[in-house]
Formats: sequence, structure tokens, C-alpha cells
Amino acid sequence: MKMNSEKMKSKNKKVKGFGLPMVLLVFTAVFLFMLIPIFFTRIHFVGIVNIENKADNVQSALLTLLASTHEGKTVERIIGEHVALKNYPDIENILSQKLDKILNCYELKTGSEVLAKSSKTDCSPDKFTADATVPLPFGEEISVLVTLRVD
Amino acid sequence: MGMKGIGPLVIILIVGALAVEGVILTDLVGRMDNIQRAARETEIVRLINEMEFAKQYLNNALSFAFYQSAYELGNSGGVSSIQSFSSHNCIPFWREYSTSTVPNYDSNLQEVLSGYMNKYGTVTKGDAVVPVFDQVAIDRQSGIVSARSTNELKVDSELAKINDVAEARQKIDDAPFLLFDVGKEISDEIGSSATSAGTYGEAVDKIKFIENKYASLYGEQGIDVSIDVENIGSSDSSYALRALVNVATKSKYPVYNSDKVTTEDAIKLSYYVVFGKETVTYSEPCI
Repeated sequence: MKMNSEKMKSKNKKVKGFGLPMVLLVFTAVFLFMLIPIFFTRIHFVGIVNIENKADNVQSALLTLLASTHEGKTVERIIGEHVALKNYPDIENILSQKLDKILNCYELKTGSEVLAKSSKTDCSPDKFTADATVPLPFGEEISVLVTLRVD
Repeated sequence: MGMKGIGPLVIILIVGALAVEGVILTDLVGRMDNIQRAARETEIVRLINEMEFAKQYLNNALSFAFYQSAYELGNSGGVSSIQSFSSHNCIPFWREYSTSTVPNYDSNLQEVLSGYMNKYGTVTKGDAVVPVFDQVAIDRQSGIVSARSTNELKVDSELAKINDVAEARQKIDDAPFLLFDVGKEISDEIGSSATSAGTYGEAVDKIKFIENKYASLYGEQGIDVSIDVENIGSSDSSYALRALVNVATKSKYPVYNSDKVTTEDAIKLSYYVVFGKETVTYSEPCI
């Protein structure tokens, strides 16, 4: 009986030494486990909103470009006439002069043709894109999709 | 601390952890609301941009649709259904002897323009839903063409919806608007002065006078006038003068021509008049 009582006391001492740190550890782990997904979710959403915001800015840049005018015609109409009639051999200059003022690294293209590209050498515009439908003079095709890519 | 001492500590830790977690969650939920609001605002900006893209597209499409309509209608003498008119080489007669049949150019132009505008409306590739344009107005005095729908232009997404009036307006060069007025004046003057000519030679002189008069009168306004004449009667005294009147813009516009090529061409109004001492009647179907 004496022997058993001593063994129990020794066991209780071991439990006492191990119990508090264990409890703290479990609570810390559970606490962090609950917080981490919330933080990551928040960071993820903030990231998405930032990306969307920058994409909106690219869209606004394309809108500004298409609404601007050159010699009394909107750039949108000039692009349409150029695609259908090839009557603006200097279209790259016309577009670059305008885009250089609002963007650092860009590429403006239709499906098959690069209309204007940033003159910077270390520029690969592939982070954000914006599309717009541009009307063409009447013909087999009456619209074309213009894409602006920005770094 | 004994085993009995851990129990209250655990309870304190649980309560403390829940309290801290609650505070952080409340804060984060509050921030998530801001994030959601920011996401919605960003989406609204995107939709507003889409709406502006659609409006700009429709405004520019309207000018292309107008040029094509004026080109097509002018080539068929202002007539939208040539089968209902007497014609030669698919060009209508505006005057056959004493009978003048001038088409309702404005109404026909509105009808053709409405068709072309709606073709453009069906090919927008963005998020905008373009309704059918059921009202087309042409103000030749101000040179403004407009197309409007009773339904609204819509841009929808899961987060937001934007509606706006579906209307396109464009200022068009004066010259295409002048074609019909000049053509009508020439037709009227031929009727009032040339048809009384006694011989073919005399009639030709009068036609040439009219041609020169209108060419110089409207030349500075960007209009070319030409009248080609031929005698389809049997002689100079028993004549039947058939004149092809062409009224064209000096400027060229982007159009889709009869060879199915998109090119730059003048917009031209063409029609025939026939008069004289000999009545030559024939019916020539336009195929």
C-alpha cells in the first residue's frame, strides 16, 4: 500500500509538470489555427481587390485613348478605319504619342496586328489587360476586339 | 500548482482566448465589409467603363452605319424598294414625261439606317446588352444623326447593375445631307424649264445649263453634279431625252461597295429623268 501511494504521488508530480505547458500549447495552437485562415482570406481578398483596381485603371486608360481625338476623329474611329482600309500608315505614332503620356509599359493590339508598343526595352506588358470592341466601316466584319496589355 | 489548480486556469484561458478571438474576428469582419465594399466599388467602376465603351462604340458605329446607308440609298436613287419604281439599270426614274415620282428620301434613309445600326448593335463583345434601336432621327439642318431605343442599355454583373439611355448621336459632314436637296432641285428645274424644249438639241443645251449652274452653285459645298444625256427617241424633233443625274460628294467615306469590298468612295445620288416629244415606255425589272 505504501509502495502504491508513493508511485501515485510520483505520477501526479509528472502530470503537474507536464499539464500547464501542454494546456498553453494546445490553446495557442487552436488560437492560431482559428486566426490564420482569417488572415489569409483577408490578404487574398485585398489582393484580388487590388488586382481588379489595377485592371480597372488599365480599362480607364484604354477608354481614355479611344475617346481622345486626332485631327477631329476619335481614336476609336481611326483604329476602325485603319483595320478595314489600312489608310493610316502612321497609326503607331498617333497611338504611341497618346499612350506614352499615360502608361510606362504597354502593347495595343487587335487579334492579328500590334497597333502600338512601348519603346522601352525592358518591358514585357503581360500583367493586366483590357479589351474593347471597336466598330469597323461596314463590310464582312463590322467590329474588332482591341486589347491593351500593361505591365 | 496542483491538478485542481489547472481547472480554473483552463477556464480563464478559454474565456480569454474566446474574448481575444472575438475582438479580432469583429475587427476582421469589419475590415471584410470594407473589402467587400471596395470590391463592389471596383466592380461598379468596371461596369461604368464597360458602359462608356458601349456608348463610344455605338456613337462611332452610327457614323459608319450612316455612310453605308447614304451610299446604298444614293446608289438606288433614294429608293429603298426599287421594285416599286420604274427603273433603268436598277436606277429609278424620278421623272417620266409629266409625271414626277420623287422618293421620300428622309423616311427611306431612316429605315435603311435603322437596319445597319441594329447590325452594329448585335456585335458588341463586352458585357453591355444593346437593345434594338427603334427610333432613328436625321436632322439635315444641323447635320446630326441620332439613334435611340425605348429600352435601356444594360451592363450587369453579380455585384452590380447599370442601366442608361440607349442613344447614339453623331455630327455628320454637310455634303451627304445636301445630296438629296440638290437632286430634288435639279429634278424640279428640269421639269420646269427643260421639258418644254422643241428639239433634242435644245433640250440638251438646257440640261447642260442646269448641270453647270448646280455644279458651280454647290461645288464649294463639296458637291459634284453631272448629267449624262441620250436620245432614246427616233429623231431630233421626235426625241425622248433620257438623262442620268449624278449628285456626288467630293469627299470620300468608308463604305462597302457593290463588289463586296470595304473602301473609301464618294457618296452619290443617281436617278433618271425622261421627257420629250416621243413617248418611249418600257418596263425593265431590276434583278
